Amino acid sequence: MATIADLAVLVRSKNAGPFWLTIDVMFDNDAAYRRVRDSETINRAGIAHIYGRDPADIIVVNQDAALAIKVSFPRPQSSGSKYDSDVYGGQQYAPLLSLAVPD
Amino acid sequence: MRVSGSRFHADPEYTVKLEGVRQGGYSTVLMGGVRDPYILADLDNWLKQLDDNIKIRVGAMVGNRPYEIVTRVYGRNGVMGALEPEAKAGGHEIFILWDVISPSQELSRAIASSVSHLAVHNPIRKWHGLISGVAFPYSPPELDRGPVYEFHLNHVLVPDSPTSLFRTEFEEV
Repeated sequence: MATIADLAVLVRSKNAGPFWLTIDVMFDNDAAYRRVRDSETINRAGIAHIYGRDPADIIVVNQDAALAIKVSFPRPQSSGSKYDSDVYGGQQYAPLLSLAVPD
Repeated sequence: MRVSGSRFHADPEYTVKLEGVRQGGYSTVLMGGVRDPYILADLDNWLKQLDDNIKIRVGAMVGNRPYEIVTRVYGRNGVMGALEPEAKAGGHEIFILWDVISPSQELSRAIASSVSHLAVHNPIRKWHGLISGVAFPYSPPELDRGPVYEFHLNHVLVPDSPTSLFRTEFEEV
């Protein structure tokens, strides 16, 4: 079974303002994008479970025109605050990479 | 264990131990974490590519002034260095400490600033596009450490007399 890392050409995370993180899962072909989108592998409950967040706080947007899936949720602490470990939010995507996508 | 029979042999020559340091430059450090499994799997090449890019990028700024960047990878051999028998990083994240040392604080800081930008966007073949591959806990990520020193003087002196090396001042109180 393929994983997100197998199908995407770029997965990255960054801050969306100081209080939110956003993750882009990007594809270079329509088939791979649709396969992941239609499988709903990336969904609010699953993201909430992985990151230990409340499902009500998770936003998942399937952006057909960009062949990209965008996931956003509030940071556990604001960027640059004393408990923050990644001020630019750049290394927060790794747990998504191994998600299995059904055939 | 019991040790006995020790004897003190007085040396006919009176000696004084002299130890000292020299300033090795000024340090600015950068700290960052990496969680991307593809960077971790190809860490040596990723770091080598970064070194190559640093040499190109800071070359014009540095000119002929000497500088050194000491990179420690915690989670691999950050603690034991050359003595570490486990060659590979085994966990799912590492911590990298870059120590930039040059003749001035300003130069070290400028180099470290370039290193931080080059490191965070240092590409990897797996991902097509600009990545942010290093999580910095602080912004700005560079921290000045001031002058740094290393052991430089390790001598045994034979003074004219036991007191000749030392000034003695007497005060009436």
